[in-house]
Amino acid sequence: MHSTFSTRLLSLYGVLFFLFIYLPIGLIFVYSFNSNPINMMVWQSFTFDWYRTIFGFSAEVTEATLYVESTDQLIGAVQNSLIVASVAASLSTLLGTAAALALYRFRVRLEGFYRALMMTPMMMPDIVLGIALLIFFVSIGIDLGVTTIMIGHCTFLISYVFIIVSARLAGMDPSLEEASADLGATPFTTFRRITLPRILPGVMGGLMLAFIISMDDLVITYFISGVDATTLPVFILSMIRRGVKPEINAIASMLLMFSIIVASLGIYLRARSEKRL
Amino acid sequence: MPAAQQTASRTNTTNDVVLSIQCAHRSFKTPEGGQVHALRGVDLDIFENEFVTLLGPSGCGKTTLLRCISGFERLDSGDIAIGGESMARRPAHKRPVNTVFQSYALFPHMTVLQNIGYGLEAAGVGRRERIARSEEALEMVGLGDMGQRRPEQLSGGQQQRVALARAIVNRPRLLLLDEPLSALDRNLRQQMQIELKRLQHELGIAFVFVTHDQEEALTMSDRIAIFNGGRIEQLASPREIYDHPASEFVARFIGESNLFSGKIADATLISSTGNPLPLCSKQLDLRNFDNGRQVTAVIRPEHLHLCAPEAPQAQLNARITEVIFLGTEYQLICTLNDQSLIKVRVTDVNTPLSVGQNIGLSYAPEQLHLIAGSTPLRGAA
Ligand SMILES: Nc1ncnc2c1ncn2[C@@H]1O[C@H](COP(=O)(O)OP(=O)(O)OP(=O)(O)O)[C@@H](O)[C@H]1O
Ligand SMILES: [Mg+2]
Repeated sequence: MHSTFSTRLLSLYGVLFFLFIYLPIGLIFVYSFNSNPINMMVWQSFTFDWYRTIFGFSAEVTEATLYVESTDQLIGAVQNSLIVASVAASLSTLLGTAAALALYRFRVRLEGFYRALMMTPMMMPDIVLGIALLIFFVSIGIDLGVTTIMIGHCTFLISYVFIIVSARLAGMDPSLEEASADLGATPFTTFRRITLPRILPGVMGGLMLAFIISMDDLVITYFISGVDATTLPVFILSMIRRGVKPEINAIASMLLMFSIIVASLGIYLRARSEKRL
Repeated sequence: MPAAQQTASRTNTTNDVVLSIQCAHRSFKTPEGGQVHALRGVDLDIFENEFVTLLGPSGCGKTTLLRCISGFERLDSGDIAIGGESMARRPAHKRPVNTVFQSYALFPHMTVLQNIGYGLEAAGVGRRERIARSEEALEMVGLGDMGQRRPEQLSGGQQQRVALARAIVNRPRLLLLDEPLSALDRNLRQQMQIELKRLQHELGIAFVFVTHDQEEALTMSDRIAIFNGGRIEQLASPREIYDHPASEFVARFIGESNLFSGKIADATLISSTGNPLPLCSKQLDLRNFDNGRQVTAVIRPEHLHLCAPEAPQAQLNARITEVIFLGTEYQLICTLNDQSLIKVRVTDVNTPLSVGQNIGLSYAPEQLHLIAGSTPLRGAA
């Protein structure tokens, strides 16, 4: 194609645009392989040391790699995060889908009001929700820990699932369910054979999204995690408080990879079921 | 005569009423706070093997009636019985009817064969028999080799056939079809009309068919129910409805017609057209219409004949205002003395006709059909 000044300018803009978004992330990734322990911004040589360190395999414990002491805590935090994210995402997918189905199926008075109620937690400032949950848990006397984090995460994750599944339901041809009943299928069969397959991409998408958001949540978790139950983001924050160490880059890079894999899986599943519809 | 034949075939099967609707009422609340009366006292009996068409303008309650029969909508009052059994307390999935939806409503995540076998599966038919019967049904609608496709890989007409196969494979007592052909082009529609009739004969299932298209209704139906504002205005054979419309609405809705309102006087109709229109005395006697009675007379454009303006047989005088060529015939729009318009069919295309020409019109009095009651006079409808 004929390349004019303006199209070249546009390409330049495109490059700058993506640099703006991805350069910081890319830098962390590069720094995580830099062996310079003092100043990560100065390249020394390529190393896997920081990855090794966080898994507790540090060969030579020197002044520079003094950070190993937290490895157990790190692994505990990752475990907590995975458990919380799995349980909270599953539970909120179940509840959010059920709520979306109920508002779709039944003619409810004040439907708009209920829909708004369902979406509010998502839009509420994290800090407000965090404080509110903290005060709530303390006042009814539940000990802060993994359980309270799960419950807390569910309160806003349900909103995300609800929105995604509702959108999917709104796009569904209502005559499909009628056709199924017309052909003699019981309401349960209709749900299993028609409704569920139709909304499954939305349900799976909601599950993935809820999982990633739960893994990633810092502010709300910070308030309701108590002393023993630390999740990965809370752990990273406390690590950084004591100074930005090169290990942080390695942890961040791995977290990034994990998120990309989960998100890609979600997109892939969705595309596949989309094609089959 | 087809009308007589149909009446005869109907009396043969009078005891086998498949569907009986009694005094069905249904109204909806509108968002604006008002009420829409979608059904206002519908009575309808449909017999074994019958093809009944519901015909009427948009919003007159046809779809609502079908949805009440299939169980997606409930009645406010009245009753629907299928095979003598009241359906009042039966949910949709337990009713022995199947529906062909206007949007086809094929399950997009299943193959054609799975779609067709869905009802059999729900009924607990074993896999072997299910597949055999599904394939047979697919064969019947002429799509034998497309069982493994998905609905989106079919054309509109093919999807239509799959929807039909899916509905008939369960051998319902009654098949409901809500404007099933409206999305098809003219040629395909005519082909499907023939095929639907053939299927109905082969299967011996009663069909309740909704359409907007009066031509479709006239060619396919054993009986037509003309709907208007939630009521059935007339329920009769196509021939009967065309020849003897029960109301002005039916006369205007089916075919083209010319309407004259007036009073009966000495076997003529005195209307604002000036000339007294001769009436058939046999019809007057038969229907007990006395002198002074207000009636509306209906005459079809093809029953009016041209003659010279001063000819003795001329019963109406008119001036041609428009000549429309229709291929094998002409349609004339003429103005009568009272400025009302009248439509005339001229089959002899060699007659010299020109706009502004004065003509006489004649008709055989027995072709003039009378409807009791009256509304303000209007010429052509
Ligand atoms: N669920 C509903 N809520 C409110 N009003 C309704 C509902 N369903 C139908 N109506 C109203 O009832 C009337 C009859 O509707 P219906 O769909 O039966 O008409 P129809 O004869 O099938 O028309 P068409 O030929 O356009 O399909 C309409 O005025 C419509 O607005
Ligand atoms: Mg309709």
